[in-house]
Order: sequence, then C-alpha cells, then structure tokens
Amino acid sequence: MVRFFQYILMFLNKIMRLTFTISCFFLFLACNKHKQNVNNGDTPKSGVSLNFVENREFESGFSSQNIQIEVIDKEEYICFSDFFTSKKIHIYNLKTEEEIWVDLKTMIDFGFKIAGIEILSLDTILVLTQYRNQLFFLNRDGVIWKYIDFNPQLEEIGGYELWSGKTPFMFNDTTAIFPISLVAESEINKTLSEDDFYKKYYSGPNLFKVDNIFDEDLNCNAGLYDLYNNFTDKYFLAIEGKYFTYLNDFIYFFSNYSDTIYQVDPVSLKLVRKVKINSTFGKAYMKPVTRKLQKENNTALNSNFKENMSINSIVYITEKEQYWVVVRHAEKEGSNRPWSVVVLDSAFNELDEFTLDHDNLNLNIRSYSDGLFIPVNRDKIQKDLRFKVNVLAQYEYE
Amino acid sequence: MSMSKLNIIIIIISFVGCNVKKDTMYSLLENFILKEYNVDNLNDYDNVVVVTDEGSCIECNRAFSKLMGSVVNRPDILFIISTSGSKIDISYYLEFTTENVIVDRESKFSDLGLVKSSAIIYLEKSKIVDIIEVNLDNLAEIAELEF
Repeated sequence: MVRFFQYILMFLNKIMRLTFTISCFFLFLACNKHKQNVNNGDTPKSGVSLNFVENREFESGFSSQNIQIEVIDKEEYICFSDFFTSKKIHIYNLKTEEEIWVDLKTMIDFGFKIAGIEILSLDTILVLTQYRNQLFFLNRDGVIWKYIDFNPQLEEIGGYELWSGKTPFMFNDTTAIFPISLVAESEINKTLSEDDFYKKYYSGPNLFKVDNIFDEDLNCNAGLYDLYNNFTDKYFLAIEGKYFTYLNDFIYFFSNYSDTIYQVDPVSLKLVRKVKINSTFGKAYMKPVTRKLQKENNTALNSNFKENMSINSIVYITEKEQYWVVVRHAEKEGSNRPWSVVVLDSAFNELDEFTLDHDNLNLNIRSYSDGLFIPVNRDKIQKDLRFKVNVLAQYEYE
Repeated sequence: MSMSKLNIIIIIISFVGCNVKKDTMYSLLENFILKEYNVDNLNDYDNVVVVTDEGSCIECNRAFSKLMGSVVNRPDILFIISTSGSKIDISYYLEFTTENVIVDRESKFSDLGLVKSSAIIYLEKSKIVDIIEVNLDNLAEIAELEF
C-alpha cells in the first residue's frame, strides 16, 4: 500500500514538473512577443496596447521617408517613393506580398519636380508636379494617359500654386483638395510690394478643391481664407508649417507655429473646430521667425525647427476611434530626435500620451488596418543595406 | 647606395616636403578622405566638388548637383557626394565607380564644418585657396565657370 502511494506521489511529481516546463515554455513565448503598453505599465486610459510583430524589410532598392498606405480594391498597399535619385515608386501589397515598381525617370529627367503622388488603382497613379501645377495620370508602366493643367484656374483666383498635403491630396476617389500658396513671381502678384504680397498671403485662400477630377469640365473652388490670422501675424514668415491631413471625412490643418489642430469642413472649406494639444513634454509650438530675422540670419528657420517642439502628424485609429497626434520634441545631442503620441478620443478629449523608443524609431508613423508601421531610424539599419531597403517596425493593436 | 647618401636624400626630401606647407583645412579634408574612404591622393586634384543637401537653398543644391553631374568624368576633380540622395538627385554620381567620386551617403563630411552648402573647393600646392559655396545669388555664375 505504501509503495502504491509512493508511485502516486512520483507520478504527481512528474506531472507537476511537466506542467512547470510547459508553463515556462509558454511564458518564454509570450515574453518574446513583447507588448508595448502605451502608458508605460499602467492600464492606459486610451485602452491601447501595441504588440511588436517584427521588423519588416521592404526591398525597394532605395530608402525613403515618403511612405504611404493606400487601399486599392479593399486591399492595403504600402508605397515608398523616391522622386530624386532612384525616381521610382515601390508599391507592395501587404496581404499578397506582390510588388511593382513604377518608373518616373522619364518625367523627372524631362524637368518635372514631383510634389506628391496618389495611387487610386495600379493603373491610376496621380502625380502632382511642383511649381508647374500639373496633374499627371500614369499607369503602372509609367505611361501618362491623361493630364490636367490647373494654371488658368490658379491664376484666376489670384496667382497660386498647388502643394501636396500629408495624406497627400485626394480627399476621396473623385475629389482632390490641394493646399495652395501665393506665388510672388506670378503675373498678377509680381507688381505687389512685399507688404502687400504678405497681406494677400495671410488673408487669401489656403485650399483648392476639385470635385470631379476625372471629368472634362472641372468644378473647382478655393477656400479656407484668413487661416494664418488664427495664430500668427503679417510680420512672420509663412513658408514653414502648412500641413493638411485628410482623416475620417474631415480636413485637419496644423502648423509648426501653433499648438492647435484646426478641423476644416470639406464642403464649405471653413474652419469648424480648434483642438489645443497639451503635451506633458512641453509646449508643442515654435515662435515664428520674422521675415526681418530670416533676412539677417538665414539659419534662423533651421535653428528654430531644431530647438522647439511642434505637431508633426495626425493619424486616425479606426478600430479605437481615436486620433493620435505625433509631437516632435526638441533635438537632443547624442540621440535621435525624441517624439511622443498624444491620444485623443473621437470627441477630441485627451486620453493619454505615450512615447516609443525614439532612438530606434522614426516619428513618421503610418496606420494600417491592424496596427502601425514605424520606420526604423537609418542609423540602426545594417550599413550595407541602409540606402537599399526600407525597414519598418510592425505593431498590431492588442 | 651607402647609408650617408641615403640620409642626404631623406634630408632633401624632408626639406622639399616641409616647404609645401599644408594648411589646417586642407589637412582636415585630407585626413577625412583618407580615414573614411581610404583615398590618399588629394594632391592629384585641382578642385573638390562637394554636393550636399544642406544650406538654405535646396533648389540651388539640386541645380548644382545636376550641373556638376555633367563633368563627373573630369579626372582633375574630386567629387564628394555628401547626401543620402533622398532630397537631391545624385544618380549621376552613383553610375560612376571611378576613384574621383566619393559617395558619402551618411553625410559624414558635414561634421568637418568646411562648407555649409554645396561648394567648389579650389586646391593649390596642398592648400585650400578658395571655397565657393552655392547660393541663389551665385548659381548662374557657377554655371558659367570653367575650372
């Protein structure tokens, strides 16, 4: 009988050891898939935790900070563009891993400078040219099959040029909304005095909308007048910080010179809401450089940019119905530039602020359906691959 | 050759060598290309063309890069291409693997503080005799330069 109990005890002992080993194994697996709790340990108010999946290496043949997530026929693509040296767009299907390269060499070598691209389908790639105000429609082989010259309309509204926003310029499949800037060299403006030019600059429109980009007769209008008077005055330089992002059926504007996000109605092109961003790391705002100071010291803009905090971008997290505002901090010697993310709920109430490993990760975060892609800083990528591949840390929401 | 003759030759070479004084900036440049890129013949060049995306006029740097790209086959010019190539086109230089082209994509050259934008550095007898930095005012003149 005693021997029987000894057998039972030995058996139980073995079971316990086995259970312990299996538990350790699963614990090890769980730890290896490290979790990034966005509130440094405590349960975050935003309810968001990020799981690091892996560092994804995209073999573009070039490295680029020009990264877009595009949805084509309900499939998500990540796109990398280099408009200068490689002159290519690398389009990669995140699900099927199919990839294509669109060659822009002919266009660029012909003298066109590219301000931004939109990929509506693999054969409808919209290329906006800088200074010339022309929009080209390309297929995947880089062949131009349509183009629009907006110069007549832009001259008519007062001598403006088109720019690319952060998202960059297609509001939906048929409506394009371009940020615009007044052009000093334009026929209509070149006789203006400097003061009159800037007066017009500050009071004039900031957006140019085209409702039917594929039609022959274009329906265009300009809007969002007087924007700068919300946060600066005519003595300051206006050339820095004019960022537009299209999210969740609205237009959002922010500037290095303001700690506020401005929500704009896409129909009326009028300001409808202001949301002040409060970072725990300081004021997300840089005092504008005056025109006079910039004339005296042409490095003033650069120093201002390096020494101050500012809002860098906004992404919308559909799954959580949250806005994540990326705030760029002042430069720190000996490390890559720090940044943090201020989390707002759908009513723009501030929920959280969190940081990620800024020394390894670049602030150009991109949101996709399951999580985020965050570029790995170039100096952390293997030396011989640094200018050939794009390495992005992939995170998924928990 | 006897030891005494050898000593005399060494003394003469040293004397001639000492007479060609190197200035500090030249030494900085020479040490940089030797240390970072193992290039030890700066004396063979009359000019150094630096292409960078730094400075207050990015369009000037772009135009300068394109302009200089057309003379990349000149053996008397050393090209230091100090930019990643993501803001300006450096494809002209990447196609050339000749020894007069140094591609410094990490932009280490800027740490030297020799130039604040793209520039032409004129060399003469182990000295930097002039540096012309590219800006909006002199870009047209540079395009006309014959050097």
